[in-house]
Formats: sequence, C-alpha cells, structure tokens
Amino acid sequence: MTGHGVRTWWRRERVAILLLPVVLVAAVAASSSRIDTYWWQKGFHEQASRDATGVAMIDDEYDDGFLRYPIRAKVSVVTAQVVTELPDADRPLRVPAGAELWEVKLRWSADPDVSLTGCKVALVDDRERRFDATRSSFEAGTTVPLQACVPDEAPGPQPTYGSTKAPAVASGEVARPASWQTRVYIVTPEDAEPTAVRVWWLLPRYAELPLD
Amino acid sequence: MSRSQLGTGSLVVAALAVGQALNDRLPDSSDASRLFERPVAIGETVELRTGDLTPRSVEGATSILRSIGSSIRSPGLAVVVSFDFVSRQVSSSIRYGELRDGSGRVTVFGPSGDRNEVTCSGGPVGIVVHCTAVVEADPETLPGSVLGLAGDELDPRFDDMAVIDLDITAADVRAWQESEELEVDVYEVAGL
Amino acid sequence: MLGWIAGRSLRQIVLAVGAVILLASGAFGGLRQAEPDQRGALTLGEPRDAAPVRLTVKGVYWADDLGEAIGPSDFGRYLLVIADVSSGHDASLDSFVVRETLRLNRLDQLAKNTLSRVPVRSEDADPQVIVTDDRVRLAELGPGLTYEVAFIWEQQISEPLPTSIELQTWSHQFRQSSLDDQENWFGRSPDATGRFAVTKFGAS
Repeated sequence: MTGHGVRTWWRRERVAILLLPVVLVAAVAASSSRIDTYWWQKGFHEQASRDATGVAMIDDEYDDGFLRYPIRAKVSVVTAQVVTELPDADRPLRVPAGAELWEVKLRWSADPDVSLTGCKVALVDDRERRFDATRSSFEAGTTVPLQACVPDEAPGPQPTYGSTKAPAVASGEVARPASWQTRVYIVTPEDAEPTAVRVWWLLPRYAELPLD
Repeated sequence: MSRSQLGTGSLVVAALAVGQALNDRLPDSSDASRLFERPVAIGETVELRTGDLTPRSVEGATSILRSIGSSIRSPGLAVVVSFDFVSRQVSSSIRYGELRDGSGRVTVFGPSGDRNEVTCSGGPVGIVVHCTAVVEADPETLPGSVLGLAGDELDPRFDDMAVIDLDITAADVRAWQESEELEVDVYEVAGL
Repeated sequence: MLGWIAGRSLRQIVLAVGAVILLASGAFGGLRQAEPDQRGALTLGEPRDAAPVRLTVKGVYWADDLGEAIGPSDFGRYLLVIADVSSGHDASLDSFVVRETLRLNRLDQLAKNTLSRVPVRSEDADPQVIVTDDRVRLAELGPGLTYEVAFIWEQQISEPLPTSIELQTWSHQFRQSSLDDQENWFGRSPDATGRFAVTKFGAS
C-alpha cells in the first residue's frame, strides 16, 4: 500500500464512491417486483389517453394464462346528473337516507368482435371517494339496465372462463352495434360533488372522464 | 488452525449468536401483524381505516328469529350487537367478529355462518348501513365481554379492529335467559 | 474391533459419533420419545375427550328422509350419530375440527361431502353437523357451550343396511402449518372406537 491516510483512500476510491448511490438505487429497483404486484397492479395507475373532444381510448387485455383477448373501446360521457325518478317508473324513486341518485349516460364505440364483459363504472370526487355503480341500494320502480357498458339485448362476444375458446356471441343473440349508449345509476351522499366518471375492466388500466 | 481461521470462525459464531439473540427478542410474525385495536362504547363512533363504526345496542336471548337467514335456539345465549357502519372512500364491509368473554375466551366468526354471523356488506360510500353481529356465548362468562369487529375475515392482519365494550351485567344475562324469542333485523341500508 | 477404534484420531471418532446420531435421529424424526398410539373405547352415554372436542355418543340411526330443513338424500339413505359436543379449549374451534372428530369405519359408498357427491369409503366421508334443537348447521364451536348435534352421512341405498356401525373418534393437535405458518388444530390421530347398534331414526 503506497500512501497512508484517509485522504488517500478517498482519492483512490472516488469512482466507486460516486457509483455507490447509483448502485443502491439499481439494487432497490431490481428488488421491487412486489411494488408492481401488490401496489401498481392493484390500483388505478395507468390512465387511458383522451382526445380533444373528451373521448377516452380504452386499450386493455384479459390474460389469465389460458385465455387472452383484447378489450378495446372508445367511451365518453353524454350526461351525468342527479335524477329524482327513472323513465317508465310506476312507483316513486326511493333512495337511502341522506342519499341522491345519479344517472350517467355513456356513449360507446367498439369493434363488434371485441368482448367488453366485466366492466365497472363509478363516480369519483376530489376527496378520493369512489361511488360504484349499483343496481341495489335504491328502489327504482322499474327495471334498471343490467349492463353498464354494453346493450342488454346485444352485449356482444362473451368469454368462457376456464377455457381457451375465444369470446363468442351467445347463440340466438345479434351482433353488438358499432356504437351505442348505456345508462348507469349510482347512489351518492347528498353532499357529493363528483368530478369524473371512471371506467375500468382490469386494473391498473382505467379511463377517467372529467365532468364539468 | 491458523490465527486467521480462528478469527474468521469466531466472527461467524458471533454473527450467529447475535442473529439468534435478535430473533428471540423481535416479536413473532403473528404478534407483529396483530390488529390495531380501537376501543369504543355503545353509542360512540370509532374511525376505522375503511369507515366509521357506531355500536347501537346489545341484546340477547336463547332464541333468535332472523329477518334474513336461519333462526336459532342456543344452549347458551345468542348475543345480538347492532351497529351502524359508513364506508369512507370505497364501499367496504365488516366481515370479521371476535367475541372475548369475561374470562378471556375467544370466539371468532365471519359473514357466512348460519349461527354466529357478522352481517355488514358494503353500502354506498357515505351512506349509513344498519348491521348486526350475532354470536352464541356461555352465559356464565358474558359479563365483562367485548366484541371486536374488523373488515377482512380471511386476512385480518395489520388492519383496524373496533373493540366494543358490551357492558353486559349479570342482571342482563338473567333477563335474557328468561326472555322470549328475539326478532332481529339483520341488515338494512338506512332509509330504504 | 476395539483396537481399530482406539487407533482412530479423536477428530475421526467425534465425526463418526456425530454421523451416527444424525443418521439415527434423521431416520426416526429425532431423539425425543415417541408416544404410542392411544386406542380407547367409545361407549354409549360416556363422554370421550378426543382433544379438543368432548363427545358423548347418544345414539346411531338410519333414515331415508330427515324432514324439515334437510329433506331426503339423493343417495337414498342417511346414517346419523346423535351426540353431545363441547370444547374445553379457550378459543372457538373451526367447523372442520368438529367434522373431523367423528368418522364411520368399514362402510362403503358414502357421499364424500355435501358438495362432492362422489361415493367413497366411510373413513373418507365428511359429515354434516347440524344442531338438533333448531336444525341449523354448526359452524364454529364456541368455548363453554354444549350442543346436541347430529353427524349426518349419506350412503347409497344399494348397500346393505348396516345393523351395527363402528364409530371412530379422532383427536387433533394444535400446531403450526409448515406451509403457511397458520396455527390451528392440524394433525389428526385415531383416538377411540366403539361399535353401536343402528336403529331407525324417529321410531321410539
């Protein structure tokens, strides 16, 4: 060893010392697969792009290791408002104490061959609250649409989970149109001020449609 | 052995000894992941991670007639704890119940039993739901009991648990043993 | 032989003794004393402690229809054991512990359980456990409570009707699962047997 003393050591090892923080960050990043599996994949982290007119382009995929199919659609909000009765109701609307009912109308367009089964719709506010679409928690006095994202009478291709068969239209059903509208009902407390409609199939991907 | 081998060997042994001592002193995983207990009295509200829980009443009888689900006759007493729950940010349920009786014995139950059952499925955020927890217990040890309620029945680790002081007296126990069948409204979204 | 051993170095002897201990304990699961199997006798009306469950057999019956809340069996025949059950443990027992405490021996063509309708040997058949007073299924068994229950199995009616059945109780050990560190009453072992006459349920 030539040259004793702490200063000489620092000078000799300066490259390694400079690289130390870089290596530390790399080591943490390389051990971070749990952050992806337990946090990124479980939350709303990949927002779909929106065009200038407010139409969101959903580009998701179902993959359980056996069955894989794309989920692609364009969606935008037509109206979102509090309602006090439903169309064709034969009884007055009943909502829980302190609640109001929102009616959200969505416009969709998608390839009729794409399966859009299993979507979820909710209203979100600026307090990070999420109000999920529901068919219970209120009494409509009439039938409420079953599906939030596809027409009830022509839902389009449905997958058979547990098989590798591609999603197909159920026998006897007509093909889904290329564009359509849906109606979704959501119960919120009276003081809720929703700021956007959220639509998703499989997290972390989702679409957010701001309300103005 | 050479001096350096002895040195290395003793460092290894020392490291093992330190590791063993540390292992003995740190809490084991079941203790480290225990629930955060939030005590609450009947009529008060406690803030849990997923929402606000307010115990409303405690009743008991030897025979229960449920509005939804099985009606039961108990060899001991069936205790019915009614409580309100309001989800905070996302619709949440209460699915885990833990009765600790006056002598420290524990009964754990969930949302899918036919006899003991916590019925509190998630209502809309910000909306009150009326829930119940029904649990059979030994009348001798009911005085001094508390009831724990938490969200996840399968993995209630690391989360909040409301611990309700049931305030049961020996007089309550005697009255319940002599009472008739108790009708229980198991679950209701407030106002609906 | 002794001369040969004396001729080895200390190090070699220590290693050899260590190897023998390791092999011996490895082959037999350790040097602790193994307890012999307990085989007791089960008799009518006598409480039996099949830890953690205390069980008292009150009667063994057959039936083709169990009436209200249960109805007939698609296998054709029910075999029931009416018993008192209670637990001395200071925490509630999960339903599987009670279900696994009692089994029927040496019968064929019983339903595996209420969901899986595969006919199996009686030793592998899981009973329903129903409280006789209100006909509601018993899930967890709480401390300090004694229930009269019916353990109910289903048997194919094509099998000859047994006139007597051998009952087997099983005890459990509270330990940690090596798979997921869960602590519960794993580790079943045979406890006691008894042979009982079978009569028609409801006929008094």
